[in-house]
Amino acid sequence: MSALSLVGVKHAYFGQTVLDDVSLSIEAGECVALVGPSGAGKSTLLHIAAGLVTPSEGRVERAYGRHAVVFQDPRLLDWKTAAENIAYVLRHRDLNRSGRVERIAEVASLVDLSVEDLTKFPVELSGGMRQRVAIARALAVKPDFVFFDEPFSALDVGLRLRMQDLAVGALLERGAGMMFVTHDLMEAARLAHRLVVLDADGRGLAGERRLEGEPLQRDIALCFARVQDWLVNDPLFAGLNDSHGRRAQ
Amino acid sequence: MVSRLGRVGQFIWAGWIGLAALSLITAVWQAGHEAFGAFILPDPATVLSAVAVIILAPENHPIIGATAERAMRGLGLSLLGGGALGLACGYSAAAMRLTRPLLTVLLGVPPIAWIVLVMIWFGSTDTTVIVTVVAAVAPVLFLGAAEGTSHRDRRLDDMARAFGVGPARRAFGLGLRQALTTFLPALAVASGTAFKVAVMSELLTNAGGAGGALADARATLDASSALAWIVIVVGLLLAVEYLVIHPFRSELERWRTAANPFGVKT
Ligand SMILES: Nc1ncnc2c1ncn2[C@@H]1O[C@H](COP(=O)(O)OP(=O)(O)OP(=O)(O)O)[C@@H](O)[C@H]1O
Ligand SMILES: [Mg+2]
Repeated sequence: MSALSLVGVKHAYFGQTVLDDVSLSIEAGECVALVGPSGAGKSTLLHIAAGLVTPSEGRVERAYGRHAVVFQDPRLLDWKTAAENIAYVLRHRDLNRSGRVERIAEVASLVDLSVEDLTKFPVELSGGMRQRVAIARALAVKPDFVFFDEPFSALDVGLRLRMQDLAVGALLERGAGMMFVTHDLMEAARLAHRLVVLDADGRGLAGERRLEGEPLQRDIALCFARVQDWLVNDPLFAGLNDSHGRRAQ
Repeated sequence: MVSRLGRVGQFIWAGWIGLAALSLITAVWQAGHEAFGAFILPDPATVLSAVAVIILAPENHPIIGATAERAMRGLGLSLLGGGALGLACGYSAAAMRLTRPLLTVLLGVPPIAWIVLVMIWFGSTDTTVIVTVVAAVAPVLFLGAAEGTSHRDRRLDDMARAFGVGPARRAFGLGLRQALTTFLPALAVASGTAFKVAVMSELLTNAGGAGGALADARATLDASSALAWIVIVVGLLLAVEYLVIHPFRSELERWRTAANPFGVKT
């Protein structure tokens, strides 16, 4: 059985259909990138898959231990420091105080946050740092499945590559499944086993492409050529062309 | 710990501003005394010595204590009733819509009307004073709590849910914590109202306490002792406000000052 299965999921906001008849399965240890134009319903699908939104129709089946979510906005508690924010989701799990401190230090170093950064409140952190705290928080619970909603969008190119290698790498190593929403086809081509394109007009999934080779080990130049080829020759990506073509170059 | 000490220092330092404001009031008071004479407005020095006499006399301690106790008990009951109910209603839009008109009515009834009614029900007792305080204060606390919880950031609830945080920890850690931003100002208003209403109720119902002492001062046309009692009641209120509510608040708003230390505009 797949780690996560969406079966015939449909969702409408106030009568406006955003998702229609979406069926998608993700295996344990698999990273699936979800792309689509802005407003296509990527975040909505992710929230449904994570159990935060009940779909109008269809069902979601989960066969994994615990999951974590990195939201499109960092969603940190303003009144808690970075370390306390990470601790907030840990506290109820069976970890004692020193275990928590250790775990926080471990995930903070994974996302390049210094000990000093950890004592700061979210208002004192940059947008990219806040995003990294949110990533660290997700990694801290040792999840078996992670939902990422454009987690690296506020990071510069160099840091983004490093975060992909570290965060996604750590999860793949542990055999965790991933649903990864992104605007960036290059990111998808580098990270994912499989790429799913969401239809712009709420008609569900437009199609999918399987990527050969292992995530993170692919040659950058080949990924780039691949993305160019999609954008020029593949009708599946025609709708993305306007909004993503420029970014991918 | 060091930062906490720093905040205490800052808090005490801010006391100078309060002292300056108080000096200004005293100066205006003195001017008023010189213009209208000692019968209408006794000078500050006389009143302050009257305050000292009242405070130092052991037989007055139960009187001050009675007023403080009634005000605090009324406030405590309102906190339990109004505050808790407000929190719950903040979570339910339907309950909020139902209670809102009720609240408008309750807030619209002047405290003096409550006093009359409650006096008929309970006579000149502690209960009368406490019930009047509750009637005046509970709706304010209810509103503060309900507004706070209903305006909380629901995205944080979703986040916590996604990480498997249970409903109790969400209610206290997120709902209650965010409600405090509107609840604490309401609490400051409520504590002031509690003391004022307690004194007024005591004065009108003849139930003793500082209000009773004020009634005596009025009967003997003793302006300096009346003013002295007023100063004492205001002093009690200031003590509650600055020793309890303010430190609590600055502890909670630590993250806000972190972004804007020392109130410096950047
Ligand atoms: N809570 C909501 N209430 C009503 N409509 C919503 C709500 N959330 C999303 N929508 C609508 O659903 C559609 C899809 O939104 P969604 O956030 O899933 O898009 P997205 O693909 O994640 O876009 P982006 O790439 O910009 O993040 C949009 O048209 C949006 O207006
Ligand atoms: Mg989105």
